[in-house]
Amino acid sequence: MRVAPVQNRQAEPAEPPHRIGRREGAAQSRLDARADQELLAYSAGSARTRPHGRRPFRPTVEYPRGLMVGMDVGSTTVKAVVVDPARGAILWRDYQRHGTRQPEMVLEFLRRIERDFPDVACESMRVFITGSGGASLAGFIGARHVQEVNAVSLAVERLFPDVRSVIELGGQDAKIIVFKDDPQSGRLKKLPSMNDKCAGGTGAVIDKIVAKLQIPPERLSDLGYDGLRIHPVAGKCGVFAETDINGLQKQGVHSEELMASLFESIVLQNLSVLTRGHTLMPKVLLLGGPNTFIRGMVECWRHHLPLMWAERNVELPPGARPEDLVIVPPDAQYFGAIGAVEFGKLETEENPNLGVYQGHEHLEWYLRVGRVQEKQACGVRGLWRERGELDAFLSEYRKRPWEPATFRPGQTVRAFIGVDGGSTSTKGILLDPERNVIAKAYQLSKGNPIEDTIEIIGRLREQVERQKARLEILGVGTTGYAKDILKEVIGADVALVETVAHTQACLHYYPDADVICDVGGQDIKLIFLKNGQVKDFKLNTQCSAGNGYFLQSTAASFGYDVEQYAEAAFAAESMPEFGYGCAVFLQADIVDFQRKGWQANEIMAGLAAVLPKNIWLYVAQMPNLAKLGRTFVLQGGTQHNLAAVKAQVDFIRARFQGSGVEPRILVHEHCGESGAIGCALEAYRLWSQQNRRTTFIGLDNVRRIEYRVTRDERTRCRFCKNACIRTFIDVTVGAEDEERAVDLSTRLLKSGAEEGHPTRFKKGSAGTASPAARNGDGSRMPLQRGQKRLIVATCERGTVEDREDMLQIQKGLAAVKKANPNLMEFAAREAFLPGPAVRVHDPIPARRWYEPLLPAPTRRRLQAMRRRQDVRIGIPRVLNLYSLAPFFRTFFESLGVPAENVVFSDYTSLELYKAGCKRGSIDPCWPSKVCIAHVHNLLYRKHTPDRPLHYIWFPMIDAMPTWLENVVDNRACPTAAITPESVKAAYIKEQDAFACAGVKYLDPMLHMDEPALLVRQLRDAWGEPLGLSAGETRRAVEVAYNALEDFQRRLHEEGRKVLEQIEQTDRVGVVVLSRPYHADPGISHGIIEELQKLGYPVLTQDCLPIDEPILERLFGEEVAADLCASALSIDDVWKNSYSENTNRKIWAAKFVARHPNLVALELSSFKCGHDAPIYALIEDIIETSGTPYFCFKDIDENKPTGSIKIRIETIGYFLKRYSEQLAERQRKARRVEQQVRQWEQQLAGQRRDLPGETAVAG
Amino acid sequence: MDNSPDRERPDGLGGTRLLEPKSLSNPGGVTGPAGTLFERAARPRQPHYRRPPERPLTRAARGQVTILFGGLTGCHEFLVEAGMQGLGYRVQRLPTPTRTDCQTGKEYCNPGQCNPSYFTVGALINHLKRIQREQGLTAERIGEQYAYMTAGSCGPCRFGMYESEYRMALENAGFPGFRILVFQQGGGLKQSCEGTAIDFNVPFFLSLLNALFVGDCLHSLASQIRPYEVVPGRTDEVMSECLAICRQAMRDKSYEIRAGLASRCLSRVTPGYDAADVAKFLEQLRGDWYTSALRRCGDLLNEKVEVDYTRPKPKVKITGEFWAQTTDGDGNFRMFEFLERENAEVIVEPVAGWITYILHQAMLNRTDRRGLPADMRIRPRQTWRQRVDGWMTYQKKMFLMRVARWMVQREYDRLRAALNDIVPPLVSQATLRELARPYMNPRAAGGEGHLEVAKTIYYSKNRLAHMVLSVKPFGCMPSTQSDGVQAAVIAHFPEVIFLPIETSPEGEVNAYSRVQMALGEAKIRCKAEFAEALRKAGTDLEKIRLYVAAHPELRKPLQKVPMHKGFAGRAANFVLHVADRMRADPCA
Repeated sequence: MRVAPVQNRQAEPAEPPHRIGRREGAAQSRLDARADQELLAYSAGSARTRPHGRRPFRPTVEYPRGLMVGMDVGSTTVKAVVVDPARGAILWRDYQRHGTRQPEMVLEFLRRIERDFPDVACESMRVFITGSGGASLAGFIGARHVQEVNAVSLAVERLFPDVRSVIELGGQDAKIIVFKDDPQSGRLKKLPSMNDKCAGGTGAVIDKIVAKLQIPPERLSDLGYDGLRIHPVAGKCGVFAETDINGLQKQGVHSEELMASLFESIVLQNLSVLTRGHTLMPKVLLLGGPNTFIRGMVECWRHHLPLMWAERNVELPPGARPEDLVIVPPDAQYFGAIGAVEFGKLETEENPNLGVYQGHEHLEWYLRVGRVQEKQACGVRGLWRERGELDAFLSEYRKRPWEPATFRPGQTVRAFIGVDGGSTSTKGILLDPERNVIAKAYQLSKGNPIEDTIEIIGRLREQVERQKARLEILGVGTTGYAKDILKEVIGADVALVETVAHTQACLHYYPDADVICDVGGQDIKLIFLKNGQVKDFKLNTQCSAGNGYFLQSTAASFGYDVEQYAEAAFAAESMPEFGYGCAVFLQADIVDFQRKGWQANEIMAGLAAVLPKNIWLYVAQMPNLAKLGRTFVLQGGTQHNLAAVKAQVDFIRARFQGSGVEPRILVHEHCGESGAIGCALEAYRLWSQQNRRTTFIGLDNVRRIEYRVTRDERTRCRFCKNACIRTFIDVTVGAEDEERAVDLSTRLLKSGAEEGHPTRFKKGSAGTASPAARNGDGSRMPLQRGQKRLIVATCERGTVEDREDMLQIQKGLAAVKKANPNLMEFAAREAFLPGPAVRVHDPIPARRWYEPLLPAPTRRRLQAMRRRQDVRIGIPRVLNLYSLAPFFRTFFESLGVPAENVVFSDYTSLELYKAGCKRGSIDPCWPSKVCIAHVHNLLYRKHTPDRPLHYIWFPMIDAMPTWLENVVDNRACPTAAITPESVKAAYIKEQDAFACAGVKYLDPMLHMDEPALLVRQLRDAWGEPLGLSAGETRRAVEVAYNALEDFQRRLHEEGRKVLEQIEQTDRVGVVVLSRPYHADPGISHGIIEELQKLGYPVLTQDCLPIDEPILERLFGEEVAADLCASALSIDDVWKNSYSENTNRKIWAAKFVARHPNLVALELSSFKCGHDAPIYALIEDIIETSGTPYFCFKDIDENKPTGSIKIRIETIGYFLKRYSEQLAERQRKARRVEQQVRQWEQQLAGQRRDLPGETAVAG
Repeated sequence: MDNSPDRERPDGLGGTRLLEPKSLSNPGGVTGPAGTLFERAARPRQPHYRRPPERPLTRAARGQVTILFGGLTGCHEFLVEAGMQGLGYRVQRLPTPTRTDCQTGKEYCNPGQCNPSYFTVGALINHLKRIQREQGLTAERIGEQYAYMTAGSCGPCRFGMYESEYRMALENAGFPGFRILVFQQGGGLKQSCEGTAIDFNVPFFLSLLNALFVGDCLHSLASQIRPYEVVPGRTDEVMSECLAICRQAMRDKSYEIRAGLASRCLSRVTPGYDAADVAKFLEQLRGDWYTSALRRCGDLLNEKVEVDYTRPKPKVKITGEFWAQTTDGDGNFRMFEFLERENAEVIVEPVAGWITYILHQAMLNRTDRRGLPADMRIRPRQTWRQRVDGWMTYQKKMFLMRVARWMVQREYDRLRAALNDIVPPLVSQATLRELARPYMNPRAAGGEGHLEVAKTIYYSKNRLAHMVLSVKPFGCMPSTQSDGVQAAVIAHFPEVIFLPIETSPEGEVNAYSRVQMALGEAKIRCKAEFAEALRKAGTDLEKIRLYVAAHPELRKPLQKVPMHKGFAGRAANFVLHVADRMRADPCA
């Protein structure tokens, strides 16, 4: 039953209830589904009220069953067939791109069909329409709508009855249909799955990358897969894919390899997610544009599907080659339309009047009138309310065109160069010694930052020399994605991380800024300041929903230049209202709005309006702007677009309403070049304050730069088993450089935030190389004379070529690591180390002659006890086992299972995940998702014929032990707790993989916080397999608890040592606030190690010391003042304290907030339901105390390397400053202490000198 | 929603501490590092973060404060509202949450919440803002005049943290200190604190339970009748009248009952409940206050609504996360409407099922701990007396829970009987547990636990539905894992047509499309089944329809149609039923 929402609650509650009905419920919201519903209702109603009613079906002599039109209205194309059902012949077919004008294209098709069949009246035709755009149009022409998968399934059943799986990749959707026998209906049951919220793995991703790589459409179909090198590319999302492609492109990877890598990632994405764990049984039919038109996609499927069949022991038809079982049918694009007709054939047997074509007039009416009404129902006012308001905005924010400086002929122009090598474009500026911008240049990325920079510097130079002046460079700074490469190639004085560069550029012009909002092409940076100091920053780490590139590409798809965006958007009086969120959904909304008749400029206005919501609500997730400060500075290239600026200004002002404060919103004078300005300012600072002479190679040499990018077998690193392919950039810069290029040593560590960055530069040449360098492992690509080599590698060791250098690097890294312990790594290692467990099992009895006479249970127990020596138990190294493994390890060992027979899966790695992820049917958080792969690792790697595993032990841990006080409970998160069951399902659903392997999977529920219950639960689980008695189970549990306690004690001890060390040396330590399993380097993507390499000790929340003295120091006063119940309590900050890991995180946050030498880094996985409710709390606890707080809150399967790098560098920069402040504060404190001591001594001396005092003292 | 097992808490707070801080503290007698240095070099003194103090809603303020609530279907909420009004509270239901509310919730909540949180928080904030706008009240005044009441739990899913989320979001939205009242789902029938405005006592819970059960019946009834109504919209019109009848009954219900001898006697064996409480229970069991109201509703429906049960429509059982499968707004994409538009009959999930589940889990947890010491020590030092006491306590609590389970079942069945047993009975929790056991541990807590898996098997295996649709909000942790488990269920039960959809506001169009896909399968199955029923009936549809036209009682919505084994559809069962009658009818 539906009850209408209450509109005015002040109305008398006793009044009769509102009418129960769906219509009223629908009145509440106004977006698309509602409009669809109204539209359907309208169209149906209109058809009914037609003057002559619906025309019944009327066959003709020529076509006794009439003609059947099958129409497939997809997201990008309209396909139609006209079939004579009596003869089963296709008489007419066509396929056209509709350019988002679905109704218009359908109308055109109908007119052409009418024209091409002039002798067939409307009522002799029946129309069946399918596709995403079909449902809302069917009513206007009397057609019957057919659901897409139904249609495709029917077509497949008819045309390819032996097909058991269909993979269809569409423009924005991906579908997989698995056919299985249905015992109830006797037909084939279809198990369809479709991408739900994300366009990952669809044609949209291919389109996006093809556009990025500028591959002409005619070349697309020829792109291959077989024989090409595959690089890691995220197929999960077009945005991530683009990020990876960018990186690889800049490393010189060829576009064919990039596309092959993309095909691979899309296929794997579909296999791992969309199949929902089903095996795609042969034969497999490939449908949809990308699958049928692109050779590489077909090759990729033909590569991967047979692998899956082999792994899962799928029986293939005898004699068939696996590749031949993956079919690409002819006319694949018409399957939807043909299927719609097939549906019609079935349905019209019962109801001949179904789908009778009613003519196209009503559709015409809809295009003229109905659509306007529909728009009015769901739109909102445009970007401005009244013309005067718009004019006022424009007069305030429209910029005067920037005038480049003018120079006298012969003048020597002294300047600093700033180059911002961004992901989509490169920007450069010249800054004079008075810190004025005197020239600017912009270059859309051509794929290589060196080339772009050469061109940029050439243009800057040209702007000076054109006026017959001479340019003298005093300093050079680089920033952006390619800053390190550029710094080394052109000899820049500084490479500055983007966030810092943008801050400097802002503060230079607007010293009172509170918030910097920098919206670039791909990224968003929000920097929060207080008194000119950076307080916090946020970056879009996983999502580009709020970026400017999306606006630009949408405008381009409508045929507008980005410069025309604002004018077009301001022309819209109304606009559709987008829901903020993922860019891919916005794309889907655009298609939908276009179908509803919204014009391009109206959609552009709507998109501009959603931009600030995406920035502040979706990416930054900070709705309350008024508390950030008053002055907002908008930077980044997107701010050139006044429509975007207007939307942001209005949004920010609206957020201040009621606060009593009027925000000041400024657009940076050089908003597109602020990064370049920032790094030029830094070069200026080094020049002016540190008298640094520039290391710039010189303008002429820049022009002469030649470079060669190599990435092939010759560049493969051989320093570890990973054997990564590296990128060598060999640069020749000319004679001047050759003179300087004599130093072949590789710097072991860069300074400051650059430390540990995996890019190294080696100057020199083969001729000048030291014998060691030449003779060591040597390069397979000798440097030419005058060349410099830049090696881009995935880790430090790969950044050099000879072993000596590598060993030196390793030594250096080891030194840094030793000086800065990483307790997360320590915890991850220690938890799984076998320990000397006390044996507490019952004595294993010797065999006796009378044993066969004993009762069966006793005999079984004796046999099981004797087996303990040989039994091998596999445990996945996942989830809460990172904190509880010592318990289970010891439990088994104490019962007589040899330590080496308790086998853990490997640490998470990309390889481990890829090998085992394909069985997954759900998309939970990354730590849970990876568990299937860990069990795969146990089952197919650790379980071998000569060393078989007998059991896989993956307990469902419901509650955990705690050392906190006054908490409501200490539960584990339900995702972690239930994961063992979903993992089990993945391995038993098609065939019992455990049974096949002879392994038993045990996953009982355990309550680790209730020892007596735990004894019972463990005996239930292991009583029979190991022949446990109640007594020995009890003893083993006791020993196991001791081991767990001992493990935790060791962690606390290590934590205390590190804390002592940093307190004594006035250093800063980073406390990682995270769940135990973030210690797995594969889960946290190595973020922690990068931080350690920056030179900061890393502690975890579980290793913070809980010694009485330190607790007293930190919490004593508050406990005494009754502000909290105890030092180990969180009741003063958090009420709903039932989740153990959450509680520990909160307590650790309190600890960090009270300790001057600690800062906090919060790690959280995407979809973490127990972290999300405390995000704000953790920030509040930390920031209220003035402690620096950093976070990575959406760690997922994808490793956003570029984003992690920027964040780590930025964190490094701010931590360095904080460390300096701390050290300064400590120095001051010491001085004060010294001074006080002196005064005390003086006073004591004076007292002694006073008459009478001596006597008293004496 | 969350199932929080009633775990034993020896210290009254929960969280048995195994790792004593004392045992970890100061190992080796370390005195701590550089104390003086720390003190001097401490971070500049500033107050640390504390959670804002909670403002209680006192009994004295009861008359001035309107208590807002929401989170169920509109039908349930109207009845709960009436019941609470009958008890003398000023209560008001919140409007059904919409997508706009969800966006508002996203603005003010922490990021990464599950959708029920966004929807309900947003609905509350928007409602308060509406009051502010329309009545010109200040935020402080609103804080004084209104409070919000919600169910609570202590884990394990984040539903238990909603309370804090409400408080934080309301503060962000400009309503700091707005009062949030929580009653614990597993907290028993008496959880009032001294001096608080709400008496969480027997009348409160009886009123709540009756409202929920009557709401379940009406909700289920409407879902069964609406797809077959001859005059479109008629069911909703009449149901509106039915709701008015039931609301009046809820509001007029009096709990002023004199305790008789039986009550006084029984109160001696029911610890914690006095004679007055027992009298209320007895009156509930003996009285016909609600059943008579429902009988009137049934008569009204039979009188005013005409149905045509010869139209085959696939039956779709709704399962999933509690809130998503309950709400009838945008929170589940208005899925019930959509399914009916797509010619399906929806089998809704009764809230009473959730209550029996909570009871079942509490009993299961207690059984697991049977005979174990209260302090959970591995080597208990219990005297015989303590053991006997423990045994007695266990038996008493189990007895009370069994009585509670029996009462719920009995009362629900009585209400069903008043509607001619048209509303399906509550499924036995033991049956569900055993069905789920091979796939999902029935002790798995959070969300719907093992229920989603169990219901899929139950409704498909017993041919009670053609398809099972599981609706879950974005971010529901237990439900996502449950979907993972369903993969094995689907593989092992080929007859299952199961579809999970995650109701994230972004994915509405795709969700509809996916439902249509699965529904296509269900329709094929329904048609095949209907054809089989006609074949078995040995007659054709036209004859059946002619017979029905001649017999008005076969067009009444509350007629009893017996279920035939192997036939899920209402139409298939109806034609078999009519065929039986025709055979028995000499005039046919």
